[in-house]
Amino acid sequence: MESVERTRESILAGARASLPVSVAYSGIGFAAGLVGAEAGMSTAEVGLLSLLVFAGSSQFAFADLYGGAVVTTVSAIFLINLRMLLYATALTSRLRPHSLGARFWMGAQLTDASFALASTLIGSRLERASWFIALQGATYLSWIAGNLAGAGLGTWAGEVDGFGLEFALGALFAGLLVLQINGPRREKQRRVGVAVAAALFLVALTEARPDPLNLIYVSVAAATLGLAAERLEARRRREGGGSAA
Amino acid sequence: MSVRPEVLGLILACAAVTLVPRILPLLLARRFSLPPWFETWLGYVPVAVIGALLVDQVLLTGPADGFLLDPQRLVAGVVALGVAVFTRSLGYSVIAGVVVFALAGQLW
Repeated sequence: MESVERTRESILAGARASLPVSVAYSGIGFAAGLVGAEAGMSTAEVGLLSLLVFAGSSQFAFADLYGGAVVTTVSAIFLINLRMLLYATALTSRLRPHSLGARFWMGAQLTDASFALASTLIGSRLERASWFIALQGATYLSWIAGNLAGAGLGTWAGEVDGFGLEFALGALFAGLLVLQINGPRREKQRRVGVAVAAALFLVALTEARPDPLNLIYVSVAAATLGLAAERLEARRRREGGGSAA
Repeated sequence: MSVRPEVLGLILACAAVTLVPRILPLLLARRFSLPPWFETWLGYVPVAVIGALLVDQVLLTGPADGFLLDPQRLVAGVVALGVAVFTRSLGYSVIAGVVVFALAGQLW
């Protein structure tokens, strides 16, 4: 059991770690709220949507599609969110010790950025449920606040200058990518290779055929390359060791 | 300020399909254990995903679907990467990326 003191400490640390994401989400949320309002949704509807569908790209798609057939909208949203199945599976072994309720919350509020953050800062931090829940909670609240502001004020706010914050997520992913390159030298090289492969695959595939599932395809392919390289090296080392002996 | 019943229904359906892929593996976490090779494979997923998300933010943000070389994003992305390599700090890379993006916006 966590003591109250330590829980408070990890909640604060989680909220602090969420900062770049929270700032970016309130900005993107503002844009999403604005798009929703322009598509004819009321502020209450936008608020409810952001409360229940905490998934940025889904919400833009919703505003785009909601006048059309229900099946089209729901299946489009499902496909957009399918990558979360991969994210949640990748976090499973780390989050297994936490209670069912905590795991439910952690999963429910999973996003690209919180997955990227959590899987990078994984060390001791993720052992505390309160750290991750606070991190995600802060991003969730910023998202809802941004949406409400966008839907409520957006129409007369007009063109908004983002002060560079549109790039907060891009910069965050750049930082996280660098932190992901760790381990012994060969491991680092493999990890760089995996990231570069995923990046190149995504550009090529998006050029050929834009699809919400592209991110899953390229991540699966690049991770498989990483595993194959690791296996191959292990085998070569075994054989090399065998012949030397 | 009202919620139309048909919109509410649609939102609830979308909430369900948004939630299920996120929570399913975590709810079942104690029911299954993964084979070691799969755990190793999953270990490469975050770095692959982050690599893909980075190019998505830097190169794939054009108004139309597809690839776009936007010097403002490119420069800010390279600076953020460089700062991260030298400082190993997320905070500094985010600040550097955002500031360079804003400054580059004045140029282009």
